[in-house]
Amino acid sequence: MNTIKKYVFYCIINVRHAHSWKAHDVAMASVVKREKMASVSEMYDVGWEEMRDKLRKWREDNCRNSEQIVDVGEELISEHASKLGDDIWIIYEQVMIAALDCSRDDLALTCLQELRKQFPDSHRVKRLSGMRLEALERYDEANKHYDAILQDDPTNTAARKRKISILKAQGKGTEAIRELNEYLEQFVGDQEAWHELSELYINEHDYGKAAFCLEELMMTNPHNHLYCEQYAEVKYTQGGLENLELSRKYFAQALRLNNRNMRALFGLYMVSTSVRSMSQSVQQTG
Amino acid sequence: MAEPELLLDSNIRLWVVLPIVFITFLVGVIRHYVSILLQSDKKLTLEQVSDSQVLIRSRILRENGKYIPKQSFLMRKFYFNNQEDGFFKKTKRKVVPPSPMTDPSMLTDMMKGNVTNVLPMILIGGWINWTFSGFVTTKVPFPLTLRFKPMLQQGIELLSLDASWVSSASWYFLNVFGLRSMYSLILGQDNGADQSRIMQEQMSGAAMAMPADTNKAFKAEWEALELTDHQWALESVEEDLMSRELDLDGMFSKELPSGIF
Repeated sequence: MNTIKKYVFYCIINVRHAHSWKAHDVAMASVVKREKMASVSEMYDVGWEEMRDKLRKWREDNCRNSEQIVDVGEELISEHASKLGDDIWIIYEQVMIAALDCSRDDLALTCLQELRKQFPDSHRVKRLSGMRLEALERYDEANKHYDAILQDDPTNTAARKRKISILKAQGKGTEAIRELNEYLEQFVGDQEAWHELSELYINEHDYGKAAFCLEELMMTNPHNHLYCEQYAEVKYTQGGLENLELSRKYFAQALRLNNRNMRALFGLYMVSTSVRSMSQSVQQTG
Repeated sequence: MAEPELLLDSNIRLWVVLPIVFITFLVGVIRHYVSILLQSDKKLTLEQVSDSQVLIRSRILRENGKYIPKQSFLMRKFYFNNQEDGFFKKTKRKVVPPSPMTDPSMLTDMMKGNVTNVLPMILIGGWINWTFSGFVTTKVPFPLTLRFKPMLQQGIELLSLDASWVSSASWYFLNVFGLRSMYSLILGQDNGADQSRIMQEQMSGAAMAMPADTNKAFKAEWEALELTDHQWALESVEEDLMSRELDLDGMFSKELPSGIF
């Protein structure tokens, strides 16, 4: 009897608590919701024009800060769509790619549908829908999309590059390298592709070929200190006295192009000590 | 000595000079939009794209080869210029010179160009000449010789009139060329109303004829590449670096920007 009473008493108290908690919970939830939805414009006190200009700056600099793009872009699209005019289509594309990065498939789908409505036969939009399928890991369907684009327009570089990145995402490193080589045979001037190929070769520990790709990049961008520094690092990893001396020269070149490249400075130090110890050991043995 | 200056009726200014300006401008704008509507797509083949990029790569090798090690430069030069199977030696492209007769798209392009540009100019010039004839419109600010008289004073039969006084037809032609800068202001750089640019293109188009010349371009690149030598730019880079001081001022004192804005 006592336990039943206690149990009933316990239930009543809980129910009463539940009632009062319910109201409190609702209040709490709305506060929490308001805090989560505190918009970018409120947080930073900016108008829609500044947000749009910021998005344009990110577009031009090719930044990949996807979370920020999603925050700013989502608000811009949902609240200020009519004021943007024709800018809105490129913003849709930018926000969609950022949403795929952040796994926001809902946002990506809305952007894609708007773009499809406006540009029904566009290859660019087809590539975006292929990218969404890639993000959902439906690689076969994505491949079909890209093949359709390529049948229509064999010179379309974007579709080819997406197919290669599908192979990379599936972990087929050697096949990706082979496809990328074929792509580069035809489109020799694509610097993005050369850089990607050098990265793939580094993953496969084929440093000689990675150095070749970086040489292409250094030739087309002789004043870019980052390519010099990457080349020097690859040469350093290859090892051997000649490669180390070459590496030292390229670290020095990177520093000459940009005094503040700390990584190049450190690399120069490492290479110099390695060369010294190598030549010392050669002297001792030979 | 100076002749007595002619005083023109101000009605001329109101009803002739300004209307001609408006007419020329509006016709130009209409021509721009019509040319956009009639534009045909230019489709490039894979081979053309690939060839143009190969030529660019070879040119970059010649110009910037000094930034890569000697071995790599020689490797690439060998790939391009090798006697038996270098790229420039081996590749022969089928060359079809795109003459207007055989290539239908070029023919329609030429026709469209003629229709949109030359025809309206002739028609409107003639109409203006017929409508606004029999009086002088304006005076050009510099003195002209008598030989310009029959050209610039179309409907006026006065022997003693100074050649600086011109008729409305010449004012129209002045406008056609003068409004070019207005068009680029209003319609943007690449506009279809820009007649002088089109005429320049027509004259230089005969000299360009790019697609027919892939083989010749390859041969020219081969020769140029044979002549290039490798002067390694990084011979003395370490000494250069040591001779100057590193500029690390202010590297650690600036506040990093945080947040989005």
